[in-house]
Amino acid sequence: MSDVLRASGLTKRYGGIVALQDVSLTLRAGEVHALLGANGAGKSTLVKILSGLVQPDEGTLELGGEPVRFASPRDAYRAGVATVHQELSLFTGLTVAQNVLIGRERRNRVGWIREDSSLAITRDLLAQLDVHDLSPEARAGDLPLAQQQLVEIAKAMSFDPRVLILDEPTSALGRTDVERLLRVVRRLQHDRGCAIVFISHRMDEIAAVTDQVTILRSGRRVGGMARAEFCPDRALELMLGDTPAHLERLRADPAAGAPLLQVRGLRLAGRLGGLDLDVRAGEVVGLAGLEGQGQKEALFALFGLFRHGLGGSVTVEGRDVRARTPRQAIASSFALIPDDRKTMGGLLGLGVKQNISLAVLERLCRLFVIDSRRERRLVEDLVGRLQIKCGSIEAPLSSLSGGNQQKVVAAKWLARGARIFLFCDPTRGVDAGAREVLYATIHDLAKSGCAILVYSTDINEFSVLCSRVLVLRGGRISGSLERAAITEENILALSFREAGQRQEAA
Amino acid sequence: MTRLNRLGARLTRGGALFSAAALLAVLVVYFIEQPLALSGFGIASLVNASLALVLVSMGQTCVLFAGGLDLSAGAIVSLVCCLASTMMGDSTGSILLTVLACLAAGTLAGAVNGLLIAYGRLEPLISTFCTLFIYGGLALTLRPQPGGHIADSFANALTGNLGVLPYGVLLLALMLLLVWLPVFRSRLGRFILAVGDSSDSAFASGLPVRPVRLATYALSGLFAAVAALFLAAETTSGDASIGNIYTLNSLAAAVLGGVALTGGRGSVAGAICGATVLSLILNLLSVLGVPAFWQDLIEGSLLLLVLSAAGIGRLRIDDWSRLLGRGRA
Repeated sequence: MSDVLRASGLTKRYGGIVALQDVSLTLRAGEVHALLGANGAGKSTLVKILSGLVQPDEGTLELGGEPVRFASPRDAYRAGVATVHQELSLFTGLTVAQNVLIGRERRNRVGWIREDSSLAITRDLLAQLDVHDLSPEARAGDLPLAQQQLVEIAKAMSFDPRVLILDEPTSALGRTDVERLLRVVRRLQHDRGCAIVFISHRMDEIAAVTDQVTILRSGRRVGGMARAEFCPDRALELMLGDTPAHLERLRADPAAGAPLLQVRGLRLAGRLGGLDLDVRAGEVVGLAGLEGQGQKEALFALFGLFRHGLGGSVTVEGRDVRARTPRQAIASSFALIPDDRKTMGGLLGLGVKQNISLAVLERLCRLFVIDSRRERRLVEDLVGRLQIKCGSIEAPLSSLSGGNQQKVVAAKWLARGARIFLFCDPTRGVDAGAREVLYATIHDLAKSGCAILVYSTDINEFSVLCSRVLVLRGGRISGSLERAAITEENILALSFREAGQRQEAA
Repeated sequence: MTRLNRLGARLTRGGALFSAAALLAVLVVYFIEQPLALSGFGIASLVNASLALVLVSMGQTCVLFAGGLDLSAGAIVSLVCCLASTMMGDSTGSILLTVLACLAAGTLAGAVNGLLIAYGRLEPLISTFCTLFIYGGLALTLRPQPGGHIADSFANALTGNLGVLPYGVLLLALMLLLVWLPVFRSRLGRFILAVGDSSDSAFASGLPVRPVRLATYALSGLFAAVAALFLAAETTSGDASIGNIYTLNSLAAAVLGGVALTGGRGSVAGAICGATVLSLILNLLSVLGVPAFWQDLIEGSLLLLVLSAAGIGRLRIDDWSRLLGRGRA
């Protein structure tokens, strides 16, 4: 079979973070090529490069032997590389037919769009996909997610692509829809000779359709397998890599007695389906699982960021404290350290001092004037305690490293006397050295009697940080792990588990 | 979806219907108050009173469709009106030349907005607010005092009647047939709606997002220029402040007609009805003898009311949802 697309040495950096390093990939006509990797392994970046959404810093693309550069998605489509993105890219206000043919509508002599031909072409494409229950005239925004996904695929197919990229096409689909989709993939592969890139977290799907598997970890290609040698366990092993062994596990024992934070049946319309969890003082509990399974929503909901569709009970030391605004959550001693410091955590243009004292200004005031000596004392104390590295306490937050910015945000809540810390992906975009200091900070907080919930997209962190891990899947807890059982293998097993397929690993 | 959400969606989608009903109601009140307005002359003067706003609102609707905003539309009206009153002579050639120059000037002024926003990546709100003052200033330089010359033949050609049919209606029909339909029956119109629906999706779908944005502002400028020519014919003079009211009113008219401020939703019929309703209400206020300062107050409140009604659906959405994002790249 002939090589359709050859990518070699692709490297992409975002700021200081390497998202993709020296990755090569060869796609052959009539072959399904799967990309496997944990969160943040670089799959999305690779897809973005192949579809022209971002440009690589290094590396080349060759299409049918000719070198190509995709400066925009337009170039990629023109060259015959069509992508179904993970986040649906439909126009909800347009009809199915208008969506499918956007930019390639047939026109009459004066340039007007021939709607009848759009409808006919779309009907034809949908029939090829074996979809007969979808009207080309329906508004895309009114369709359920699974049907929107099919519209996306019809749209990609309307380009008659040489390369078709399907980025987690099955994540939103039920069993029957998945089977239908896999049939379509096989047909595209055999009848049209498409080269197909297939991304999925479900091993059974990968085993069912792919000819080649490429495994990515931390932006690098760590292995590949042909269909005959594909082995899910070996693939998982490659995806995980080695745990940083020198990192010490959390030793502090949680206090005995009643839990500090008690959550029962926490519900958020469409995102969380009844979450139960307890956190004792001194305990660090992890929320693990694949991205977007409700971990972030759970933390945000506890911090009062959702006003609508919230249900269930939240109690701190027996008092009912379910918050509807961050202000209420803060008053009941919650603290959120968000992943995105720019939009939610800190005020980047203001100094370290202003950031830390922000939440306690009323306590520092004397006759409505901020007592700058007391403010300075408070801030210097916290900067020392959390070992925040900054030029001076007047230095703007933006001049600090990512890890130190996180510590400033944590210091703000410490000053306020928060007792329940919600860490949302705290080491995102933080370098290795700063990570360890941040881990130590989290351990110290736990030792001083705080209750801590951590969500991380870095699966290796849970074993270092947590005494207990809850794995979420589809807005529910799919399993829990304690102490020595907190390993990447067990977390991944619970994350990837098809409902009822494997017994609980604990 | 909650009940309120659905109500909001229905209000937005039924915007054209809603404003048509409002139009009927306002007309009934109007004719009860002013039975004379039912005559041919009365109807013609009503059409003439609303036409400029209808035209500017159509241009504004183009921009809103693509998710933008044009605060300079009123100033373009003033600028083109002053240009017409300065250039125009009495010969047919001079009139034709002036009309062409005015249409070009309006389109160019709109295109400058588009360049700033689409290619200069400025915020529509702030950049068109700045050009509002630039174009307004240019208009004042051209014509510090109201005056100038508009040929009688030109004025009569735009404001006269063909039987009971005012020429203004023909002008509107011409703009619909020659500009609106060709744009919105072709790919450009589809792209405009797509960009307004989701500019990220439009980019990922390989659409030329920036040229499309540019085109909407140029169209807005063109419609403002036609409105200005009509106003010049109606007042037979140039006035640097004549366009001032059209910026806010065109936005309000579009929203009243069910065009979404967030882009991608609405209809031209709705915008036309909305503009007519709004002009009639303003007209009615002065007919009823409401003092001028009350008129401003009522107008402002009316706009707020319309905007809040359109925003009902949004009250139920948590602003924080978008921060959930997708995690690491």
